[in-house]
Amino acid sequence: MVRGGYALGIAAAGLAVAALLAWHHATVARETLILRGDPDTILSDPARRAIALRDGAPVFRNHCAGCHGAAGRGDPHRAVPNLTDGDFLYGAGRVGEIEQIVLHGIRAGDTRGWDLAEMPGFAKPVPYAREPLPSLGPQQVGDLVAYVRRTGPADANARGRILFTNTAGCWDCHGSDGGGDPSIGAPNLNDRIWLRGDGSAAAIVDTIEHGLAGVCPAFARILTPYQARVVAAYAAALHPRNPHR
Amino acid sequence: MSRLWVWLALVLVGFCSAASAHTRSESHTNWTILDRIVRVDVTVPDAEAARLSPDGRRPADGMMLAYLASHVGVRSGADACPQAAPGRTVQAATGYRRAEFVYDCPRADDLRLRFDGFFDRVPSHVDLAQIQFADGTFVEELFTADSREVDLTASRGGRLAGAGLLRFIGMGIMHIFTGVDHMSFLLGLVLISRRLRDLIFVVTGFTIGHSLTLALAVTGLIRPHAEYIDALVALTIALIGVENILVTLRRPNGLALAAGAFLLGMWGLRVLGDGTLPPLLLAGAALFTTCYLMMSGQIHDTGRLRMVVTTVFGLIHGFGFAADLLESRLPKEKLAEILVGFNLGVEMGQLTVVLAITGVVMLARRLHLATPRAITVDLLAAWLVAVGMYWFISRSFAVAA
Amino acid sequence: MTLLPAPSERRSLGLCAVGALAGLVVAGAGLFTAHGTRIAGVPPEDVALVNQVPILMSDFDAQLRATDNVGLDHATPQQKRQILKEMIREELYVQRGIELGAQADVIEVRQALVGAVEAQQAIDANAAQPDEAALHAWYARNRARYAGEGTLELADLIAPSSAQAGAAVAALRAGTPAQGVHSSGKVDDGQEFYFAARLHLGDRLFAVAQGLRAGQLSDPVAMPDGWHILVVRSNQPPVPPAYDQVRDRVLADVRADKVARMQAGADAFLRRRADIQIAPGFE
Repeated sequence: MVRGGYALGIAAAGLAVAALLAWHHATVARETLILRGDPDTILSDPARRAIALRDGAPVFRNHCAGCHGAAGRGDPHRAVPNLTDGDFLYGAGRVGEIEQIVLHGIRAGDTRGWDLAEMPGFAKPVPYAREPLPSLGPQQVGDLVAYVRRTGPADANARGRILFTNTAGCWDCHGSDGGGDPSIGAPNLNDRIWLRGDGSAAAIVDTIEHGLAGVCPAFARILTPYQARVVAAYAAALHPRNPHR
Repeated sequence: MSRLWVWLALVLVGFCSAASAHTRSESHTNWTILDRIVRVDVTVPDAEAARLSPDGRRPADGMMLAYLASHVGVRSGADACPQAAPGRTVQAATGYRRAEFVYDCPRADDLRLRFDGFFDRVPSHVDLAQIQFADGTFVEELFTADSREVDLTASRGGRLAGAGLLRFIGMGIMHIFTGVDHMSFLLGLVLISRRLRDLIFVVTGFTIGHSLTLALAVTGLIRPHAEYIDALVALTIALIGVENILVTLRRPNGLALAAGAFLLGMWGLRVLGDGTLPPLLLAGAALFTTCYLMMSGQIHDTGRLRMVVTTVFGLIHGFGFAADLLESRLPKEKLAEILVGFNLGVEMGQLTVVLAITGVVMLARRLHLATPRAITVDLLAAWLVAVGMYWFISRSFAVAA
Repeated sequence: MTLLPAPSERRSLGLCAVGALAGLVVAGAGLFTAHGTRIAGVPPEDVALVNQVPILMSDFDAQLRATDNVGLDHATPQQKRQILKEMIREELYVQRGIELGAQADVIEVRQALVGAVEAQQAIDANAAQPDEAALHAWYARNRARYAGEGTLELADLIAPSSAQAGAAVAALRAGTPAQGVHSSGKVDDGQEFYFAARLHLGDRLFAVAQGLRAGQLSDPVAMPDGWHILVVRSNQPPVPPAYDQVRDRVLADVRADKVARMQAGADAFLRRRADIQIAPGFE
């Protein structure tokens, strides 16, 4: 009787250990598949894509939806980017790039964050801490806005153009043609997508006068590497026109 | 009730003896020979380093460096090798001091390594030297007061080739004979076995346990933190002592609960911030101890149960053996030899100790010198509990023992 | 002889067995997940382990992309091996640096460590999103800060003497052009923001100008370089904007304030828990 009990006990213990090992092995296999491969090809591989989207959704809900919204549409009132519009402020929408933003943030205090530039505020004595730029007066701001929006009288446009391409240093980040620079997070000024405001003159005036330096927190110590990668894949897949989706 | 007082008194006496059971005086040197450059990494426990300063306190880095620089050296033939860079102190684990020296020898042949330190203060001091050559071969040598120089050509040449296995068997045997904790545990195993059949069961269980974890740790599959393992080995000694006492009691559950409560108390202290063992470990140990001691008290023919329990204890001791072995950086090519050799040595040492103890007991009985079994068991078990608890507590709170 | 325990005893024995097993599992979990355990094998999120310190896959991917501008799938084995070799070398040297005590000797290491600790405090403070109530409260307390810049357009005339200044003021107020005064040249850029006008005019003149409305003249103000007359053409005081308009700036300021408070708190915490001894005479 006792002997039978022993056998049963040992068998039960063995079964439990085997189940534990099998579960552990499956987890490690899944994580290896996602983490050891090239992040940029996760979305083009059906198997990995399914895993990443399934596991990335709860992470997005818990950590990103608070600012970016449950559907990732952002909020121009708060200068929170829209993740579904196919336009990328930083990078080109590759999963690897988004993963780096998730891990190290933007202007979050992490030395590896994407902190190369901010939008200066020209209605301040020192518009930009990184390099010397001139403060602008109200009329100059008005000229710049006219140039950026391509509206207004010709002379204002002309003055604005000189300011844009020379005096105020806008070309340095936004490009001489205003096309933006995704490597530093300078938006494209020629399209209808606005990070802050609705593209009206008042909104652009406000942005030029006061500057803009949004913060995306650094999640390197909050999320596991696996979670960071799957949420990056999930966010990349939110863009319907993402060439890398 | 009076028996309880007797045990308490015995335990206290045991503590006193434990306090004087102190480790021998030793240091470690790691030599790396790369052609003409010889690097040595000297690790000295705080207790040894304290001998260097006049007032017995922790010596300054400069004092220690100066002492070691004049007592460690290399020569090539008759010429002393000059230091290639000034000696420097290096970050060490808690309780140790480390220094590094680099020598640039005029020739790469006929190298002799010298270690002269501490022998003038402690004649029984030993230094365990591990010497690694550029081609990966690996030699272990001992510096003692009588042999303060090692001739590398002799080391490399005949003595190592083919003798690796024997050396590791020797290491295994010596490990048992010089390890008071392991011998105490074996004593506990012998005590608890009334008959030969029981003894065979427990020793087999122990062997299975420690062979398994020795293999796991040496191959690198899993290596727990050495400090925790040391404390757990002490705990197993105390537990085997408690079990010995317990089986003679009429109401064993009280003692079982007391043992569990003690470990739970340690867990509480740890949660409040005091102690170094992981809290989960202490909690799990408390539960395991209470349950297994209660079972021990209930079941009277415990041969098979004991085997399971000693297997578990063997698992812990196996990690303990491996920790000692792993202090040397093992060359990967020799892994199989090391495993087999060390394990064989441990088995042989174990068998010798067990047979010796059993032999002594039988002899004493034959010569009518023995005290009644009960008193002997009480005495020895109390001593085991005392020594085990002393080591467990001192190792858990990282007090230099 | 083998004594079979009675059924009730068997039950309690069974329970004890289960308890012992559970205790073992718990203890094992505690032991093997503790710091200092070495387990063979590289976890999936790492590309290598150097003395149990991991080198992350994400860092490896980023380094590969930054150095060779190629993703993991398209990198050649040589490129991958080279990047990994450099990263392992960096880790080895960092560990060696700690071994040698570089944090005590090398100035750049010390500065980098200080910056790293401050940055970590900032990261911790930025991790949580402040709620709307906190933002509203901050906005209400600091409304003036978000009021934007007023604008001022004026002329700054200097008269050499008090009498001429008085005559000029009278003339201007009568609508006729002033004589004997010239423009100081400091505010000739037209309409400017308050901060710029303050910089150009100096605090005293700006205070006077701020109080004037469009079309008004100031009385002569005595300054070291003559008697100033300020003719204000337009004066738009700052308009406090609605909360929604400045929410992102409020958020940034609340975060910055939180970072500063946490850093001050961390500073105090470090000082309190450290054993600091100061030589007599220097307390």
